[in-house]
Amino acid sequence: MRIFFYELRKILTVGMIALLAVASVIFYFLFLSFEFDHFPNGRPERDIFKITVEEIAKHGPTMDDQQLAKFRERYDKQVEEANRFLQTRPEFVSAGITTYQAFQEIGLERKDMQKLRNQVIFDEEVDIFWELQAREFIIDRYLNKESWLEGRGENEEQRARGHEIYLSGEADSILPWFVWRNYNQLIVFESILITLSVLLMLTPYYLKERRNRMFDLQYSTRTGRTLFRTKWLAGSTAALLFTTLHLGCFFALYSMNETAPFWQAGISSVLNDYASWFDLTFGAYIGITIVAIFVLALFTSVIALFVSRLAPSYFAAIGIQVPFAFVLWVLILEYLVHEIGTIRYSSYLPTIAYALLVALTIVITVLRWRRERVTDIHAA
Amino acid sequence: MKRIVAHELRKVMMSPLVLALLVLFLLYNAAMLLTGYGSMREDMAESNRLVSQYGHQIDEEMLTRLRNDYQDGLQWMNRLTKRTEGRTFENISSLYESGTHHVEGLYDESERERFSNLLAMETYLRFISNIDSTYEQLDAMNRAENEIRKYRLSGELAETVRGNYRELAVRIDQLITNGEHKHLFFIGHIFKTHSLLFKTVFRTVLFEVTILTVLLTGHLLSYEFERRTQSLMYSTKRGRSLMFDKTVAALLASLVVTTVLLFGTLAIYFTLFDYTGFWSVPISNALQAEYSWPFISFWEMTFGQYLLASVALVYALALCFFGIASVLSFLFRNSYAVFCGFSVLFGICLLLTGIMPHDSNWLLVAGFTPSLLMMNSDLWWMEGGAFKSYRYIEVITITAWAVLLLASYALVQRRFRKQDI
Repeated sequence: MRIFFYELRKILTVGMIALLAVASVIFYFLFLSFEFDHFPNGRPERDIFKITVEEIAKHGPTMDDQQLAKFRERYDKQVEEANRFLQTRPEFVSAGITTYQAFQEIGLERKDMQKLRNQVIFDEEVDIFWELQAREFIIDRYLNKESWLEGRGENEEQRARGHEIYLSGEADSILPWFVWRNYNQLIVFESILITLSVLLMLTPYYLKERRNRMFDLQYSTRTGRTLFRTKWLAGSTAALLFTTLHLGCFFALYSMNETAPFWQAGISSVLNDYASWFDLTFGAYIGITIVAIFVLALFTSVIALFVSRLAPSYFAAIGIQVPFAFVLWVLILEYLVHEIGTIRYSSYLPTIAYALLVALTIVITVLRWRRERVTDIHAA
Repeated sequence: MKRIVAHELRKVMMSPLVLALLVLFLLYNAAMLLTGYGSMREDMAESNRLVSQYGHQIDEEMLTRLRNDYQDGLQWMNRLTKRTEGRTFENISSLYESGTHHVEGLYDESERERFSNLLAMETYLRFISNIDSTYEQLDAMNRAENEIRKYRLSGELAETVRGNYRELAVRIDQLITNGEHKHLFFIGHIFKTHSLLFKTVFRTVLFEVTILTVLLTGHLLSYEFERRTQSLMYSTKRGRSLMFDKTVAALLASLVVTTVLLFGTLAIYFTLFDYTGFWSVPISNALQAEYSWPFISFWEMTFGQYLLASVALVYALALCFFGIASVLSFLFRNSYAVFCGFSVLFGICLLLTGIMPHDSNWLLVAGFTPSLLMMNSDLWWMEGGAFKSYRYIEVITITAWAVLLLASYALVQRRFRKQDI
């Protein structure tokens, strides 16, 4: 146990932590900061966000027909408010536009009216008009639930799942697409950053010992070759420890996007542009991505340790890991983390992929340990 | 010394890792270009046929010939469709929209081929008819103001950008008088060949070149320290000058790697996409525009010259990255640290512009980095927005970094001579 902690300290040196911190900061500004700084991104997303949060506060994260009816009443009330607003503005009154309906029906051929309308919407940013637009979007989605959901499938099976989501009421949940996309974008780059950091952290680990000819010494002590196991464990532990810490920081930042009200909402909402094979809440989905990242970090740590043990030089170690990292990140961006469980791919994909990753992790560990017990340490 | 360089070069170029990565990268590039561009290649062949028939210069004589042939073609088509379908079409696009052109048994192979020729003519005529009005409306100063507003620039920086665009306005006038815009090229709105070649292909190659260059430079220069042979090697007759030999070997290896990747990939590209008739078309031609604002090179260049200049810039960037890696190798003596240090430096260079105030010319200066240059490979030698409005960016960036790196190299090399190793 004591050796384990010494080993852990050998991995997490001040220099390494500094390097990982700098890498994280650069990565943050290049790939993550946008989704934190610009969420929700502009209007009407900001208005949809505000309205959906209000709705959830009123009656929980679903919108059934009864609540939709009430929602439409509130919409009508706001239309009246808009009417009153237009009636107080002399330029609209003189143009004969005294109702929201007339305001909406301003045609493209009326350049002067267009200008008036654009001024109210884009220059003055009068909230009512943006909010009405947001409400119209929401109402339209819930009224045409069935077609929206079936439109998401490309084949029979997917359309059937879309219909099922509609029938089971999963579609009623309240989760706007941009909340979903924002999280997916962030978590994908977070998992790339974590796997990159794990590779950076563990690549020199065994290599340094080898360069210093330490194996000759270490493997002839009483502890002997079991030290390899301790080191392997320390490497993986360091990776998981780092992942925990990093995810902690990440979610501290993410909490500032204030999406907590949506955590109870189902992910296959009609307001979303995604449909899942599984009936999950957004909170559960976040939990699944966290588990996925831990599995990915563990898998990456085992690969890095394996390469570090076998590569004859840093040059070889990095060169081998370049294609590995590329493939891993492409998979993360498309299948492994991005929109896990989407009906675009087979429903078995996530389970099989992660089972495979776990199996590979175990197999590599076992095989290497078996080999390490008998190997000629000068040869490999 | 020559022999040492040769041995060092052999050491790195014969290493299975470098060879494997070269093959892997080339395979990836080939796969990238082979998938998904099949129908585009066929359509591009039509453009080639047009150029071989009418030349690439768009003038009155050429237009008359093209229009006449197109009209003849239309008449032929309507005679044909009257016979087969019992109706006529206003133009060839409407035939294509009706979808009957590929119904089995209606038309034979040669007729379909002529349809596709006609479609190409019609498309080109449509795009050509817009050229004059587009270029009359090109207003550099208006674009300058839009860019300034977009990036919220102010103060001396806004003035600098305006100045750059005043020069661009002169260039646009010159371009129009030269008639550089009136040439046939692959239509950018349809094919986006400029982005495909200079963004996708060049940037991918540059990433690969960077990875290999930094890896092998770090490897060669830190080799003795990593193998614990430094006390032996640096006490030989050649002594610490060995580091210089190694640098030369790394330089040569970087050039070899760049050549193999760049020319290998370009060979694949130009085999797949036939540019035969287009080498002498000015790069600022109107047809290859992919957005509403066309590509405007700061100098009058043909496509061939532009490609050559860009190839040269790839070499310059590769040498820059080699230089950074070699200086870092002297400092760290560990190829892992060199790779990490390089990546950090590369990332910081990309972020520099983000921390500069929006009213100072320093924001422009912060953009003079090889990493940013690499990311903008599709806008080299061209106007490309507020931060790409100064015509000597490429030249100054490369010169400045070359001087900086040479000076740093001289410094670390001299220090190395007397250093405790």
